[in-house]
Amino acid sequence: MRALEGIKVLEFGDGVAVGYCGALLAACGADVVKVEPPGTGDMVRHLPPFGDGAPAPEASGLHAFLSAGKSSIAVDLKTENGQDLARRLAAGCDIVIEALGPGTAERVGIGYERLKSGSPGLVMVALSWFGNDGPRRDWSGSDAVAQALAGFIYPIGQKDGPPIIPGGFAAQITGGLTAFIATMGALIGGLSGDDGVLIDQSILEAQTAYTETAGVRHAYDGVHSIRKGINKFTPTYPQTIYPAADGWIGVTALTPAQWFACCELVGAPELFDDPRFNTSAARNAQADELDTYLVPLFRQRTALEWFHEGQARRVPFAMVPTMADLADLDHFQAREVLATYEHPDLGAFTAATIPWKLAATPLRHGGLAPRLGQHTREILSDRLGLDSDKIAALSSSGAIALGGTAS
Amino acid sequence: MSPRLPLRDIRIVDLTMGWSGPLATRHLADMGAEVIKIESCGYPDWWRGWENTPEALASKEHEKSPSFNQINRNKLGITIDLTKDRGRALALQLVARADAVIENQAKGVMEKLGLSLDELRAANPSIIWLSLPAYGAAGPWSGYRGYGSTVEHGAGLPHLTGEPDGPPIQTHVAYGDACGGLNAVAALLTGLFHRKRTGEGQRIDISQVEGMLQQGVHGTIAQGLTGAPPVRTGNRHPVFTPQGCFACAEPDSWLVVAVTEDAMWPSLCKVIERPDLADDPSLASVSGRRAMEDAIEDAIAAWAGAMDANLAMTALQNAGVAAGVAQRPTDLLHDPGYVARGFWQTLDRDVVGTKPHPMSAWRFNGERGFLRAPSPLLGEHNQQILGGILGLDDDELAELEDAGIIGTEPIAPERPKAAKS
Repeated sequence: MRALEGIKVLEFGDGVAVGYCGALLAACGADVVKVEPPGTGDMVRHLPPFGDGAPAPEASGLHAFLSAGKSSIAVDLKTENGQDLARRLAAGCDIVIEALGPGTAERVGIGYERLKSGSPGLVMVALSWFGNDGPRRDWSGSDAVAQALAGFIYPIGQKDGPPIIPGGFAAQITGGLTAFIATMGALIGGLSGDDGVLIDQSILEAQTAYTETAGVRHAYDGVHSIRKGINKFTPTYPQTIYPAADGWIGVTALTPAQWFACCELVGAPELFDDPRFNTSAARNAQADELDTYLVPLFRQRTALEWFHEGQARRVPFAMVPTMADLADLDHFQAREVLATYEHPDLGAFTAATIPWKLAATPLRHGGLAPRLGQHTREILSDRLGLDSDKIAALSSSGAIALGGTAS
Repeated sequence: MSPRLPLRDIRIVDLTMGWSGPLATRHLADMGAEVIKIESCGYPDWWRGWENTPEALASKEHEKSPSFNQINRNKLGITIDLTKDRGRALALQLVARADAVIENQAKGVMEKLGLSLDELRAANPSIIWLSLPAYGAAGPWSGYRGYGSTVEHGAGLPHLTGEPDGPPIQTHVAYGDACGGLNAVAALLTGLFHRKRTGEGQRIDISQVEGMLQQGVHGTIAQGLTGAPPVRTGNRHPVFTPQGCFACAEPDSWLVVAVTEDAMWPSLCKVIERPDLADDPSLASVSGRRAMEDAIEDAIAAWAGAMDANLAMTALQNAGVAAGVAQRPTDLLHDPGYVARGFWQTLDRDVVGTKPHPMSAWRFNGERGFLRAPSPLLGEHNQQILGGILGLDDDELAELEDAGIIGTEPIAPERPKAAKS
């Protein structure tokens, strides 16, 4: 059985964060219907990587990953009929998640106050960059902007150069994950008899999980964060990445025992007691000098060799696998870390699946993602009992779009 | 008065230490769960501090850790020496009365302590047991260990950041720890929901590395779909342009600017006082701007270099352009956006006084998780838990203390003669 079997979810809005929250719910067994604007669909459908088949909105691998296992219904929320359909669909749902932008759900008649009047147990999640209130409510966000304001990028980069922006959509992934956490808490409250709840989830505040400890520390010691150099983690060293004979090896050696084993392993036992390097703080202060010794030593063997031998001596080394390596490493194969995702126009491909292993309620791994509006007809018929004449009329008025035919 | 919190009837036995697991149980505690954190006098949570000299212990350094104190709020703290039979028996009695056990020990530690899945189930057939080692509880590398940095390295994430011809670049926040904690609490809540619906417990195996892989999932998608990883683009964005991090007037002050939609472009040009760029029709689309990326970035840099970073951010945002100051993590306490939304609250605690707490990132009907108690002093709730829940009387508690099973003072370990052990 799936943990969220029987739970019905309606998902509105653009972006990776809401899509990922919905993807987690779907992987846990919930029935997730994605409500998309006719024509363009969720803007994620226009984000790379793209397959080489159909054009957007049916070309995005990111969409295929985020919407695996979901249904898609194309409804124009700018029309009154579309808004009415959205409300009627929401009335049959346990959870509504939306990222329409603060205030928009209310404006199109699907705000929490309105929806809960017919569904007192409804859990509604409003996901936004900066939250539902506050001075930045209406500001524009992005992964880079959220990571900047959260203090995440300041410490990355050269001392005298700009902070470095991580690639990808990590702030939104964290935002979606945190929204899922809140949703599950509210669902459990519902089993205890609690009324429904409106969850206000800011992506910026979710991102702060990674940096809040530094803020608190500052209140104790007054010391500010610094940026020291690329891969120059502080205040302990080595906690870095070195080039190996064939790839990259992550090296972390904090405790005396780890540092001792590290020095022996690389064939430089004399470094262990060297007063320049004999404490974690000293190594941090002399990181550049230490690297003049360690960089050439780590070049001598492969990343996998260093990894296994380091771990055998209880030193937390890690091979830094490339995206291609992930498919070839036996550990990741044994744990089925990659799963198959599919979309009618993209075919099948592998990606890192949502990774939790719940023995009694296993997650769905991978799955099939819908074309834009692929399930419009089916859902309006099955859930709202609309007949084909009514559906045709809605379609010709532009309130809905009937997708799903082969392109 | 305490509000009615959603997890008010959930009890968690918490054997986690450091950052990852305690972040998971902080979410649970903030939602109202009764989290019983088990340490021992000989092996306190290492996030209380690395230093365990007699002098450090005498000055209560273990009660002064900023990180420990913020992440363990709202929890109850007890000490039990789990290596002793009587300690183990006490832990199992708590397990019998709990919904879930969570731990982030290295693989095999629970079995060594006599707290294997079979033994936990003998105490409580419907218990949930969640573990979160770096590489997971099964598989060839499951015995391998890692810190937050190791987890980030092991997921290959650094390959997704930096210049195309530069090295892979890691972050500087022990990324894997907090990410592992978030994945753990998400999975545990899923298990708790199922248990509450059906009465069934289960084993939950979380790998922190696999949680981290989701942060870079676009990389695995690109590899799987196109046969190649995403091309690294430095501080530029692969889809829209311009995006960059620009120096502002004050030393070491930086502003991220991200034109995520074409509609932002003319607004940006207006704010940076370059109407000529807005008038150039070739720059109205991403492809046109991509061809002129260097010149556009020069124009932004020239403007930003004379501006206060916060004023520049506000000017751009007021014009509808996405922008954010690259704040220091230590600036967040006073950031007006966080402050206005009540992200920081304060709590008084013995030894350290009144200190700030980052509140839950979620708000339920406008309310963040309820701040009801500071992090526990070592063994602070021994009497409340072992007496109140297990029914031990004062004599029995005193006897356990004499036997070294429970206590409130850390035991200084023998100083290692060499670091070779």
